[in-house]
Amino acid sequence: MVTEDVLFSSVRSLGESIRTRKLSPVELTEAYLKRLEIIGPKLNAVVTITRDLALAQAKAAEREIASGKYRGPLHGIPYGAKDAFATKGIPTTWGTAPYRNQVFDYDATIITKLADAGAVLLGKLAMVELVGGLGYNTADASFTGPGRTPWNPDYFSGGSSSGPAAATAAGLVAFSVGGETGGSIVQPSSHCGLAGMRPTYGRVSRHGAATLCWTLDKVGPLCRSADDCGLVLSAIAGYDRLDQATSRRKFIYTGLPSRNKRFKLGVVKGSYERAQPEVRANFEKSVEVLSKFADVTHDIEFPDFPYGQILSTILYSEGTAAFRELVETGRMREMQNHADRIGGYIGTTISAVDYLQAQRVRKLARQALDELLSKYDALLGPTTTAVSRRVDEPFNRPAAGASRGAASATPQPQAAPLVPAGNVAGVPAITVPNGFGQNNIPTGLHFLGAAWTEQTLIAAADAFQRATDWHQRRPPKLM
Amino acid sequence: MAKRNRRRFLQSIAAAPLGVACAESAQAQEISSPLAGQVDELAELVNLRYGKYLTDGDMPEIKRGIERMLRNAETIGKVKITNANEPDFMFHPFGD
Repeated sequence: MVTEDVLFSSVRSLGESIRTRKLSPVELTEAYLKRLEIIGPKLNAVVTITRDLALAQAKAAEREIASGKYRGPLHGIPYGAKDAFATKGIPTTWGTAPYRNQVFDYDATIITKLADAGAVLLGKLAMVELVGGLGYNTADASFTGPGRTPWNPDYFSGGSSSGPAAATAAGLVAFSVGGETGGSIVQPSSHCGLAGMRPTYGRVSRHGAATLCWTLDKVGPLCRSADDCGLVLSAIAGYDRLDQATSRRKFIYTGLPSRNKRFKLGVVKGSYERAQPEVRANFEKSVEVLSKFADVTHDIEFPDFPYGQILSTILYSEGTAAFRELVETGRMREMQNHADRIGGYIGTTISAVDYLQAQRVRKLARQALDELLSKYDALLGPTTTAVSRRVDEPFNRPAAGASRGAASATPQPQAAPLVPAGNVAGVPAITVPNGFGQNNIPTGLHFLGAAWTEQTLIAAADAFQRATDWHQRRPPKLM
Repeated sequence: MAKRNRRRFLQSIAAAPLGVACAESAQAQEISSPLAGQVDELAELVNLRYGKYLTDGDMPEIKRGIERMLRNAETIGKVKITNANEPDFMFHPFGD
Protein backbone atom coordinates (compact mmCIF):
# COMPACT_ATOMS: atom_id res chain seq x y z
CA MET A 1 0.00 0.00 0.00
CA VAL A 2 1.47 3.32 -1.09
CA THR A 3 0.47 5.87 1.51
CA GLU A 4 -0.29 9.55 1.03
CA ASP A 5 2.94 10.33 2.88
CA VAL A 6 4.80 8.55 0.11
CA LEU A 7 2.85 10.27 -2.67
CA PHE A 8 3.71 13.69 -1.27
CA SER A 9 7.37 12.80 -0.78
CA SER A 10 10.13 14.59 -2.62
CA VAL A 11 11.55 13.18 -5.83
CA ARG A 12 14.85 12.66 -4.03
CA SER A 13 13.20 10.63 -1.31
CA LEU A 14 11.11 8.58 -3.76
CA GLY A 15 14.18 7.95 -5.88
CA GLU A 16 16.15 6.67 -2.93
CA SER A 17 13.32 4.32 -1.91
CA ILE A 18 13.12 3.01 -5.47
CA ARG A 19 16.88 2.63 -5.78
CA THR A 20 17.03 0.57 -2.59
CA ARG A 21 13.96 -1.40 -3.76
CA LYS A 22 11.85 -0.41 -0.76
CA LEU A 23 9.33 1.10 -3.16
CA SER A 24 8.01 -0.45 -6.35
CA PRO A 25 7.77 1.90 -9.36
CA VAL A 26 4.75 -0.08 -10.54
CA GLU A 27 2.89 0.31 -7.25
CA LEU A 28 3.84 3.97 -7.08
CA THR A 29 2.61 4.50 -10.63
CA GLU A 30 -0.68 2.73 -9.90
CA ALA A 31 -1.21 4.92 -6.84
CA TYR A 32 -0.56 8.16 -8.72
CA LEU A 33 -2.74 7.02 -11.63
CA LYS A 34 -5.63 6.42 -9.26
CA ARG A 35 -5.31 9.91 -7.80
CA LEU A 36 -4.88 11.45 -11.24
CA GLU A 37 -8.06 9.73 -12.44
CA ILE A 38 -10.15 10.74 -9.42
CA ILE A 39 -8.76 14.11 -8.36
CA GLY A 40 -7.43 15.31 -11.71
CA PRO A 41 -10.86 16.12 -13.17
CA LYS A 42 -11.91 17.94 -9.98
CA LEU A 43 -9.04 20.36 -10.56
CA ASN A 44 -9.37 20.39 -14.39
CA ALA A 45 -5.75 19.36 -14.33
CA VAL A 46 -5.67 16.53 -16.85
CA VAL A 47 -6.12 16.20 -20.60
CA THR A 48 -4.96 12.64 -21.32
CA ILE A 49 -3.94 9.92 -18.89
CA THR A 50 -1.32 7.66 -20.43
CA ARG A 51 -2.08 4.62 -18.27
CA ASP A 52 -0.73 1.93 -20.60
CA LEU A 53 2.48 3.80 -21.35
CA ALA A 54 2.97 4.63 -17.67
CA LEU A 55 2.61 1.04 -16.55
CA ALA A 56 4.90 -0.19 -19.32
CA GLN A 57 7.57 2.35 -18.35
CA ALA A 58 7.15 1.53 -14.64
CA LYS A 59 7.48 -2.19 -15.26
CA ALA A 60 10.57 -1.60 -17.39
CA ALA A 61 12.07 0.54 -14.62
CA GLU A 62 11.34 -2.12 -12.04
CA ARG A 63 12.97 -4.80 -14.18
CA GLU A 64 16.03 -2.70 -14.90
CA ILE A 65 16.58 -1.71 -11.27
CA ALA A 66 16.16 -5.33 -10.16
CA SER A 67 18.82 -6.32 -12.68
CA GLY A 68 21.21 -3.71 -11.31
CA LYS A 69 20.83 -1.09 -14.01
CA TYR A 70 19.98 2.11 -12.15
CA ARG A 71 19.68 5.21 -14.31
CA GLY A 72 19.61 7.86 -11.60
CA PRO A 73 17.28 9.75 -9.27
CA LEU A 74 14.37 9.93 -11.73
CA HIS A 75 14.38 6.22 -12.51
CA GLY A 76 10.87 4.91 -11.86
CA ILE A 77 9.54 8.34 -10.84
CA PRO A 78 6.06 9.13 -12.24
CA TYR A 79 5.53 12.61 -13.68
CA GLY A 80 3.13 14.67 -15.76
CA ALA A 81 3.86 16.82 -18.81
CA LYS A 82 2.09 19.98 -19.84
CA ASP A 83 0.05 19.24 -22.95
CA ALA A 84 2.32 21.62 -24.86
CA PHE A 85 4.90 18.87 -25.39
CA ALA A 86 4.69 16.49 -28.32
CA THR A 87 4.27 12.83 -27.40
CA LYS A 88 4.41 10.25 -30.14
CA GLY A 89 1.00 8.75 -30.86
CA ILE A 90 -0.69 10.54 -27.94
CA PRO A 91 -2.86 13.64 -28.48
CA THR A 92 -1.10 16.96 -27.86
CA THR A 93 -3.83 19.57 -27.71
CA TRP A 94 -2.02 22.77 -26.69
CA GLY A 95 -5.09 23.32 -24.48
CA THR A 96 -7.28 24.47 -27.30
CA ALA A 97 -10.12 23.14 -29.41
CA PRO A 98 -8.52 23.66 -32.84
CA TYR A 99 -5.75 21.22 -31.88
CA ARG A 100 -7.87 18.83 -29.85
CA ASN A 101 -7.10 15.92 -32.19
CA GLN A 102 -3.50 16.83 -32.95
CA VAL A 103 -1.14 13.83 -32.75
CA PHE A 104 2.59 14.02 -33.44
CA ASP A 105 4.72 11.15 -34.66
CA TYR A 106 7.65 12.11 -32.47
CA ASP A 107 8.45 13.01 -28.86
CA ALA A 108 9.57 16.41 -27.70
CA THR A 109 13.21 16.38 -26.63
CA ILE A 110 12.21 16.87 -23.00
CA ILE A 111 9.97 13.78 -23.16
CA THR A 112 12.81 11.75 -24.66
CA LYS A 113 15.27 12.97 -22.04
CA LEU A 114 12.91 12.09 -19.19
CA ALA A 115 12.29 8.65 -20.70
CA ASP A 116 16.06 8.17 -20.95
CA ALA A 117 16.32 9.10 -17.27
CA GLY A 118 13.79 6.36 -16.52
CA ALA A 119 10.90 8.64 -15.54
CA VAL A 120 7.34 7.40 -16.02
CA LEU A 121 4.88 9.55 -18.00
CA LEU A 122 1.50 9.45 -16.24
CA GLY A 123 -0.30 11.86 -18.50
CA LYS A 124 -0.62 15.08 -20.38
CA LEU A 125 -1.64 17.91 -18.10
CA ALA A 126 -3.99 20.80 -18.76
CA MET A 127 -2.89 24.24 -19.81
CA VAL A 128 -4.25 27.60 -20.86
CA GLU A 129 -5.01 27.56 -24.58
CA LEU A 130 -2.12 28.31 -26.94
CA VAL A 131 0.25 28.70 -23.99
CA GLY A 132 -1.71 31.68 -22.72
CA GLY A 133 -0.07 34.16 -25.04
CA LEU A 134 -2.95 35.84 -26.77
CA GLY A 135 -4.35 37.82 -23.88
CA TYR A 136 -6.66 35.46 -21.95
CA ASN A 137 -8.41 37.33 -19.19
CA THR A 138 -10.32 34.67 -17.29
CA ALA A 139 -9.29 31.34 -15.80
CA ASP A 140 -11.72 29.56 -18.11
CA ALA A 141 -9.35 29.75 -21.07
CA SER A 142 -8.95 26.07 -21.88
CA PHE A 143 -11.28 23.43 -23.26
CA THR A 144 -10.62 21.44 -20.09
CA GLY A 145 -12.09 24.25 -17.95
CA PRO A 146 -10.40 26.57 -15.48
CA GLY A 147 -7.41 25.11 -13.64
CA ARG A 148 -8.12 24.97 -9.91
CA THR A 149 -5.56 25.20 -7.14
CA PRO A 150 -5.93 22.27 -4.72
CA TRP A 151 -5.59 24.68 -1.80
CA ASN A 152 -8.97 26.17 -2.64
CA PRO A 153 -10.53 24.80 -5.81
CA ASP A 154 -12.73 27.87 -6.25
CA TYR A 155 -9.54 29.70 -7.19
CA PHE A 156 -7.35 29.62 -10.29
CA SER A 157 -4.25 27.43 -10.26
CA GLY A 158 -2.52 29.97 -12.48
CA GLY A 159 -1.42 29.78 -16.07
CA SER A 160 -0.44 28.76 -18.49
CA SER A 161 0.96 25.65 -16.73
CA SER A 162 -2.34 25.28 -14.85
CA GLY A 163 -2.49 21.47 -14.87
CA PRO A 164 1.16 20.77 -13.99
CA ALA A 165 0.94 23.11 -11.00
CA ALA A 166 -2.38 21.77 -9.69
CA ALA A 167 -1.42 18.12 -10.23
CA THR A 168 1.97 18.43 -8.55
CA ALA A 169 0.56 20.34 -5.58
CA ALA A 170 -2.26 17.82 -5.12
CA GLY A 171 0.11 14.85 -5.10
CA LEU A 172 -1.20 13.44 -8.39
CA VAL A 173 2.31 13.27 -9.85
CA ALA A 174 5.76 13.37 -8.28
CA PHE A 175 6.78 16.33 -10.46
CA SER A 176 5.79 17.95 -13.69
CA VAL A 177 7.29 19.89 -16.56
CA GLY A 178 5.94 23.08 -18.04
CA GLY A 179 6.98 26.07 -20.06
CA GLU A 180 7.29 29.80 -19.51
CA THR A 181 7.19 32.77 -21.87
CA GLY A 182 6.04 35.49 -19.49
CA GLY A 183 5.44 33.78 -16.13
CA SER A 184 3.81 30.43 -16.93
CA ILE A 185 5.95 28.35 -14.57
CA VAL A 186 6.59 30.65 -11.64
CA GLN A 187 3.10 32.16 -11.37
CA PRO A 188 1.13 28.87 -11.19
CA SER A 189 3.82 27.40 -8.95
CA SER A 190 3.25 30.29 -6.57
CA HIS A 191 -0.54 29.93 -6.63
CA CYS A 192 -0.23 26.21 -5.91
CA GLY A 193 2.49 26.34 -3.24
CA LEU A 194 5.25 24.74 -5.32
CA ALA A 195 8.87 25.18 -6.17
CA GLY A 196 8.97 26.13 -9.83
CA MET A 197 12.05 26.91 -11.85
CA ARG A 198 12.33 28.96 -15.00
CA PRO A 199 15.77 28.08 -16.39
CA THR A 200 17.98 30.40 -18.39
CA TYR A 201 16.81 30.80 -21.99
CA GLY A 202 18.57 28.06 -23.96
CA ARG A 203 19.22 25.80 -20.96
CA VAL A 204 16.49 23.31 -21.95
CA SER A 205 15.50 22.30 -25.47
CA ARG A 206 12.10 23.45 -26.73
CA HIS A 207 12.06 21.02 -29.63
CA GLY A 208 8.57 19.52 -29.77
CA ALA A 209 7.07 22.14 -27.46
CA ALA A 210 4.27 24.41 -28.65
CA THR A 211 5.94 27.59 -29.81
CA LEU A 212 4.57 30.88 -28.61
CA CYS A 213 7.68 33.10 -28.87
CA TRP A 214 10.97 32.01 -30.36
CA THR A 215 12.95 34.55 -28.35
CA LEU A 216 11.14 34.08 -25.02
CA ASP A 217 10.02 30.46 -24.57
CA LYS A 218 11.67 28.38 -21.83
CA VAL A 219 10.98 24.89 -20.43
CA GLY A 220 11.35 23.94 -16.77
CA PRO A 221 10.26 21.86 -13.78
CA LEU A 222 7.47 22.26 -11.23
CA CYS A 223 8.25 20.33 -8.06
CA ARG A 224 7.57 20.23 -4.34
CA SER A 225 11.08 21.39 -3.42
CA ALA A 226 13.94 23.42 -4.83
CA ASP A 227 16.21 20.39 -4.57
CA ASP A 228 13.80 18.41 -6.75
CA CYS A 229 13.90 21.21 -9.33
CA GLY A 230 17.65 20.66 -9.50
CA LEU A 231 17.26 16.92 -10.05
CA VAL A 232 14.69 17.35 -12.81
CA LEU A 233 16.56 20.21 -14.48
CA SER A 234 19.69 18.10 -14.51
CA ALA A 235 17.83 15.45 -16.53
CA ILE A 236 16.29 17.80 -19.08
CA ALA A 237 19.02 20.43 -19.60
CA GLY A 238 21.56 20.39 -22.38
CA TYR A 239 22.38 21.12 -25.98
CA ASP A 240 19.98 19.85 -28.61
CA ARG A 241 20.76 20.18 -32.30
CA LEU A 242 17.00 20.40 -32.88
CA ASP A 243 16.77 23.66 -30.91
CA GLN A 244 19.28 26.23 -32.13
CA ALA A 245 18.85 28.30 -28.98
CA THR A 246 20.22 25.59 -26.69
CA SER A 247 23.57 26.10 -25.04
CA ARG A 248 26.43 23.64 -24.76
CA ARG A 249 26.90 24.64 -21.11
CA LYS A 250 26.45 21.69 -18.78
CA PHE A 251 24.08 21.56 -15.85
CA ILE A 252 24.79 18.61 -13.62
CA TYR A 253 23.03 18.40 -10.29
CA THR A 254 23.14 15.55 -7.85
CA GLY A 255 22.80 17.62 -4.72
CA LEU A 256 24.11 20.77 -3.17
CA PRO A 257 27.70 21.01 -1.99
CA SER A 258 28.15 22.34 1.54
CA ARG A 259 28.49 26.09 1.51
CA ASN A 260 30.65 28.10 3.87
CA LYS A 261 29.93 31.61 2.73
CA ARG A 262 26.73 33.56 3.23
CA PHE A 263 24.45 34.27 0.29
CA LYS A 264 24.38 37.78 -1.06
CA LEU A 265 20.78 38.76 -1.71
CA GLY A 266 19.01 41.96 -2.66
CA VAL A 267 15.43 43.11 -2.10
CA VAL A 268 14.11 44.96 -5.13
CA LYS A 269 12.59 48.31 -4.31
CA GLY A 270 8.97 48.41 -5.44
CA SER A 271 8.62 44.64 -5.64
CA TYR A 272 6.44 44.15 -2.57
CA GLU A 273 5.39 47.48 -1.07
CA ARG A 274 2.07 47.61 -2.93
CA ALA A 275 1.32 43.90 -2.64
CA GLN A 276 -1.68 42.46 -0.82
CA PRO A 277 -1.07 42.80 2.93
CA GLU A 278 -0.64 39.04 3.44
CA VAL A 279 1.76 38.77 0.50
CA ARG A 280 3.76 41.68 1.85
CA ALA A 281 3.86 40.26 5.39
CA ASN A 282 4.93 36.83 4.15
CA PHE A 283 7.67 38.38 2.07
CA GLU A 284 8.97 40.44 4.98
CA LYS A 285 9.01 37.37 7.23
CA SER A 286 10.83 35.44 4.51
CA VAL A 287 13.53 38.08 4.30
CA GLU A 288 13.98 37.78 8.07
CA VAL A 289 14.49 34.03 7.67
CA LEU A 290 16.95 34.55 4.82
CA SER A 291 18.89 37.09 6.88
CA LYS A 292 20.04 34.27 9.15
CA PHE A 293 22.25 32.86 6.41
CA ALA A 294 22.46 35.69 3.90
CA ASP A 295 23.57 39.28 3.69
CA VAL A 296 20.48 41.07 2.46
CA THR A 297 20.66 44.51 0.89
CA HIS A 298 17.39 46.41 0.81
CA ASP A 299 15.93 48.97 -1.61
CA ILE A 300 17.78 47.76 -4.69
CA GLU A 301 16.93 50.03 -7.59
CA PHE A 302 15.91 47.98 -10.59
CA PRO A 303 17.17 49.23 -13.98
CA ASP A 304 14.46 51.50 -15.31
CA PHE A 305 13.13 49.88 -18.49
CA PRO A 306 9.57 49.22 -19.69
CA TYR A 307 9.84 45.45 -19.22
CA GLY A 308 6.11 44.78 -19.41
CA GLN A 309 5.73 46.74 -22.62
CA ILE A 310 8.75 45.06 -24.21
CA LEU A 311 7.42 41.65 -23.23
CA SER A 312 3.93 42.40 -24.47
CA THR A 313 5.11 43.75 -27.84
CA ILE A 314 7.37 40.76 -28.50
CA LEU A 315 4.86 38.27 -27.18
CA TYR A 316 1.95 39.50 -29.31
CA SER A 317 4.13 39.83 -32.42
CA GLU A 318 5.80 36.45 -32.23
CA GLY A 319 2.69 34.74 -30.84
CA THR A 320 0.55 36.01 -33.68
CA ALA A 321 3.13 34.84 -36.20
CA ALA A 322 3.42 31.45 -34.48
CA PHE A 323 -0.34 30.90 -34.65
CA ARG A 324 -0.90 32.77 -37.92
CA GLU A 325 -2.70 29.82 -39.48
CA LEU A 326 -5.50 30.17 -36.91
CA VAL A 327 -5.63 33.93 -37.51
CA GLU A 328 -5.80 33.61 -41.29
CA THR A 329 -8.36 30.81 -41.34
CA GLY A 330 -10.66 32.27 -38.73
CA ARG A 331 -10.16 29.30 -36.44
CA MET A 332 -9.39 31.70 -33.61
CA ARG A 333 -13.18 31.62 -33.17
CA GLU A 334 -12.81 28.15 -31.68
CA MET A 335 -10.85 29.43 -28.72
CA GLN A 336 -12.53 29.26 -25.33
CA ASN A 337 -11.71 32.73 -24.05
CA HIS A 338 -13.01 35.80 -25.89
CA ALA A 339 -9.77 37.75 -25.46
CA ASP A 340 -7.90 34.82 -27.02
CA ARG A 341 -10.31 34.81 -29.98
CA ILE A 342 -9.33 38.35 -30.90
CA GLY A 343 -5.77 38.60 -29.55
CA GLY A 344 -4.24 37.39 -32.80
CA TYR A 345 -6.03 40.11 -34.75
CA ILE A 346 -4.66 42.75 -32.40
CA GLY A 347 -1.21 41.25 -32.90
CA THR A 348 -1.39 41.74 -36.67
CA THR A 349 -1.43 45.52 -36.17
CA ILE A 350 1.98 45.72 -34.46
CA SER A 351 4.44 47.09 -36.99
CA ALA A 352 7.74 45.38 -37.77
CA VAL A 353 9.46 48.59 -36.68
CA ASP A 354 7.78 48.54 -33.27
CA TYR A 355 8.73 44.89 -32.83
CA LEU A 356 12.35 45.63 -33.70
CA GLN A 357 12.43 48.66 -31.42
CA ALA A 358 11.25 46.39 -28.59
CA GLN A 359 14.05 43.95 -29.39
CA ARG A 360 16.61 46.77 -29.50
CA VAL A 361 15.56 48.17 -26.13
CA ARG A 362 15.41 44.62 -24.79
CA LYS A 363 19.13 44.23 -25.36
CA LEU A 364 19.87 47.34 -23.30
CA ALA A 365 17.52 46.16 -20.56
CA ARG A 366 19.18 42.75 -20.51
CA GLN A 367 22.65 44.27 -20.26
CA ALA A 368 21.61 46.60 -17.42
CA LEU A 369 19.93 43.79 -15.54
CA ASP A 370 22.95 41.53 -16.02
CA GLU A 371 25.18 44.20 -14.51
CA LEU A 372 22.93 44.40 -11.45
CA LEU A 373 22.49 40.64 -11.11
CA SER A 374 26.25 40.08 -11.28
CA LYS A 375 26.56 41.78 -7.87
CA TYR A 376 24.21 39.37 -6.08
CA ASP A 377 23.51 35.68 -5.76
CA ALA A 378 19.85 36.55 -6.25
CA LEU A 379 17.39 39.40 -6.19
CA LEU A 380 14.23 38.87 -4.17
CA GLY A 381 10.58 39.80 -4.39
CA PRO A 382 7.18 38.16 -4.07
CA THR A 383 6.47 36.00 -7.12
CA THR A 384 3.06 37.62 -7.49
CA THR A 385 1.87 40.63 -5.55
CA ALA A 386 -1.60 39.13 -5.06
CA VAL A 387 -2.87 35.60 -4.63
CA SER A 388 -4.85 33.99 -7.42
CA ARG A 389 -8.38 34.97 -8.44
CA ARG A 390 -11.64 33.10 -8.17
CA VAL A 391 -12.03 31.02 -11.32
CA ASP A 392 -15.05 33.12 -12.34
CA GLU A 393 -13.39 36.51 -11.73
CA PRO A 394 -11.89 38.43 -14.68
CA PHE A 395 -8.23 39.31 -14.23
CA ASN A 396 -8.69 42.92 -15.23
CA ARG A 397 -10.41 43.77 -11.98
CA PRO A 398 -8.03 45.06 -9.30
CA ALA A 399 -7.12 42.35 -6.77
CA ALA A 400 -8.25 43.11 -3.23
CA GLY A 401 -5.59 45.14 -1.48
CA ALA A 402 -3.07 45.12 -4.34
CA SER A 403 -2.07 47.43 -7.14
CA ARG A 404 -4.00 47.07 -10.37
CA GLY A 405 -2.85 44.18 -12.50
CA ALA A 406 -0.66 42.74 -9.79
CA ALA A 407 -1.98 39.20 -10.09
CA SER A 408 -2.25 39.06 -13.84
CA ALA A 409 -0.34 36.44 -15.75
CA THR A 410 0.40 39.12 -18.30
CA PRO A 411 2.75 41.64 -16.75
CA GLN A 412 1.36 45.14 -16.50
CA PRO A 413 3.10 48.40 -15.74
CA GLN A 414 2.29 48.41 -12.03
CA ALA A 415 3.11 44.79 -11.38
CA ALA A 416 6.33 43.79 -9.62
CA PRO A 417 9.06 43.88 -12.27
CA LEU A 418 10.89 40.64 -11.46
CA VAL A 419 8.84 38.26 -13.59
CA PRO A 420 8.57 40.32 -16.80
CA ALA A 421 12.15 41.57 -16.45
CA GLY A 422 13.50 38.07 -15.90
CA ASN A 423 11.68 36.80 -18.97
CA VAL A 424 12.77 39.71 -21.14
CA ALA A 425 16.38 39.11 -20.06
CA GLY A 426 16.12 35.32 -20.36
CA VAL A 427 17.59 34.81 -16.89
CA PRO A 428 16.63 32.08 -14.43
CA ALA A 429 14.33 32.29 -11.44
CA ILE A 430 12.91 29.99 -8.84
CA THR A 431 9.84 30.44 -6.69
CA VAL A 432 9.20 28.59 -3.44
CA PRO A 433 6.19 28.78 -1.12
CA ASN A 434 6.48 31.22 1.77
CA GLY A 435 3.06 31.22 3.43
CA PHE A 436 -0.60 31.70 2.69
CA GLY A 437 -2.64 34.70 1.66
CA GLN A 438 -6.32 35.46 1.27
CA ASN A 439 -8.64 32.46 0.94
CA ASN A 440 -5.91 30.00 1.91
CA ILE A 441 -4.04 30.53 -1.36
CA PRO A 442 -0.24 30.07 -1.14
CA THR A 443 2.16 32.91 -1.74
CA GLY A 444 5.60 32.63 -3.33
CA LEU A 445 9.10 33.91 -2.75
CA HIS A 446 10.96 34.75 -5.95
CA PHE A 447 14.72 34.40 -6.47
CA LEU A 448 16.01 36.00 -9.68
CA GLY A 449 19.59 35.33 -10.77
CA ALA A 450 22.08 36.03 -13.51
CA ALA A 451 22.15 33.80 -16.57
CA TRP A 452 23.36 30.24 -15.94
CA THR A 453 23.24 30.54 -12.12
CA GLU A 454 20.50 27.96 -11.54
CA GLN A 455 22.70 26.06 -9.08
CA THR A 456 23.07 29.14 -6.87
CA LEU A 457 19.35 29.92 -7.03
CA ILE A 458 18.51 26.36 -6.08
CA ALA A 459 20.99 26.53 -3.20
CA ALA A 460 19.47 29.76 -1.84
CA ALA A 461 15.91 28.46 -2.22
CA ASP A 462 16.89 25.15 -0.66
CA ALA A 463 18.43 26.96 2.30
CA PHE A 464 15.15 28.83 2.75
CA GLN A 465 13.20 25.57 2.58
CA ARG A 466 15.46 23.95 5.16
CA ALA A 467 14.61 26.82 7.50
CA THR A 468 10.83 26.70 6.86
CA ASP A 469 8.16 24.07 6.39
CA TRP A 470 5.78 25.69 3.88
CA HIS A 471 6.73 23.15 1.22
CA GLN A 472 5.78 20.31 3.51
CA ARG A 473 2.19 21.48 3.98
CA ARG A 474 -0.45 19.59 2.05
CA PRO A 475 -3.66 20.89 0.52
CA PRO A 476 -7.01 19.71 1.93
CA LYS A 477 -7.96 16.15 1.03
CA LEU A 478 -9.81 15.87 -2.27
CA MET A 479 -10.63 12.15 -2.14
CA MET B 1 -21.31 34.44 -37.16
CA ALA B 2 -22.12 37.92 -38.42
CA LYS B 3 -19.76 39.27 -41.05
CA ARG B 4 -18.52 42.77 -40.44
CA ASN B 5 -18.22 45.84 -42.52
CA ARG B 6 -17.33 49.39 -41.59
CA ARG B 7 -20.89 50.67 -41.64
CA ARG B 8 -22.16 47.87 -39.46
CA PHE B 9 -19.26 48.35 -37.11
CA LEU B 10 -20.14 52.02 -36.62
CA GLN B 11 -23.79 51.11 -36.25
CA SER B 12 -22.91 48.49 -33.64
CA ILE B 13 -21.28 51.12 -31.45
CA ALA B 14 -24.28 53.42 -31.77
CA ALA B 15 -26.85 50.69 -31.26
CA ALA B 16 -25.21 48.64 -28.53
CA PRO B 17 -27.40 47.57 -25.60
CA LEU B 18 -27.39 49.92 -22.65
CA GLY B 19 -24.96 48.01 -20.45
CA VAL B 20 -22.46 47.57 -23.25
CA ALA B 21 -22.98 51.10 -24.49
CA CYS B 22 -22.06 52.44 -21.07
CA ALA B 23 -18.88 50.45 -20.99
CA GLU B 24 -18.03 51.32 -24.56
CA SER B 25 -18.75 54.94 -23.92
CA ALA B 26 -16.18 54.92 -21.14
CA GLN B 27 -13.70 53.16 -23.42
CA ALA B 28 -14.44 55.56 -26.24
CA GLN B 29 -13.44 58.37 -23.94
CA GLU B 30 -10.29 56.48 -23.07
CA ILE B 31 -9.38 56.22 -26.76
CA SER B 32 -10.12 59.89 -27.49
CA SER B 33 -6.37 60.40 -27.11
CA PRO B 34 -3.81 61.46 -29.70
CA LEU B 35 -3.80 57.78 -30.64
CA ALA B 36 -7.50 57.65 -31.49
CA GLY B 37 -6.96 58.26 -35.19
CA GLN B 38 -4.33 55.54 -35.47
CA VAL B 39 -6.51 53.15 -33.48
CA ASP B 40 -9.44 53.71 -35.83
CA GLU B 41 -7.30 53.23 -38.93
CA LEU B 42 -5.65 50.07 -37.64
CA ALA B 43 -9.01 48.71 -36.54
CA GLU B 44 -10.32 49.34 -40.02
CA LEU B 45 -7.34 47.43 -41.43
CA VAL B 46 -8.21 44.51 -39.17
CA ASN B 47 -11.79 44.79 -40.35
CA LEU B 48 -10.78 44.77 -44.02
CA ARG B 49 -8.46 41.79 -43.60
CA TYR B 50 -10.34 39.70 -41.11
CA GLY B 51 -13.83 41.19 -40.79
CA LYS B 52 -15.38 38.01 -42.13
CA TYR B 53 -14.17 36.21 -39.01
CA LEU B 54 -15.25 38.86 -36.51
CA THR B 55 -18.55 39.65 -34.86
CA ASP B 56 -20.01 43.03 -34.02
CA GLY B 57 -19.03 42.68 -30.38
CA ASP B 58 -15.34 42.09 -31.11
CA MET B 59 -14.29 45.47 -32.46
CA PRO B 60 -14.45 47.61 -29.30
CA GLU B 61 -12.14 45.14 -27.54
CA ILE B 62 -9.86 44.95 -30.58
CA LYS B 63 -9.62 48.74 -30.55
CA ARG B 64 -8.68 48.74 -26.88
CA GLY B 65 -6.02 46.13 -27.61
CA ILE B 66 -4.63 48.15 -30.51
CA GLU B 67 -4.45 51.19 -28.29
CA ARG B 68 -2.52 49.19 -25.67
CA MET B 69 -0.02 48.10 -28.30
CA LEU B 70 0.41 51.67 -29.56
CA ARG B 71 0.96 52.88 -26.00
CA ASN B 72 3.54 50.12 -25.51
CA ALA B 73 5.35 51.30 -28.64
CA GLU B 74 5.24 54.89 -27.43
CA THR B 75 6.73 53.94 -24.07
CA ILE B 76 9.45 51.82 -25.66
CA GLY B 77 10.17 54.65 -28.08
CA LYS B 78 11.02 56.95 -25.19
CA VAL B 79 14.07 54.85 -24.25
CA LYS B 80 17.13 56.51 -25.73
CA ILE B 81 18.95 54.33 -28.25
CA THR B 82 21.44 55.10 -30.98
CA ASN B 83 21.81 53.99 -34.56
CA ALA B 84 24.29 51.34 -33.42
CA ASN B 85 21.89 49.56 -31.05
CA GLU B 86 21.08 46.18 -32.59
CA PRO B 87 18.01 44.07 -31.84
CA ASP B 88 18.48 41.30 -29.29
CA PHE B 89 18.93 38.58 -31.88
CA MET B 90 21.58 38.02 -34.51
CA PHE B 91 21.52 36.43 -37.92
CA HIS B 92 23.99 33.55 -38.26
CA PRO B 93 24.74 32.15 -41.71
CA PHE B 94 25.16 28.40 -41.87
CA GLY B 95 28.72 27.22 -41.51
CA ASP B 96 29.73 30.25 -39.47
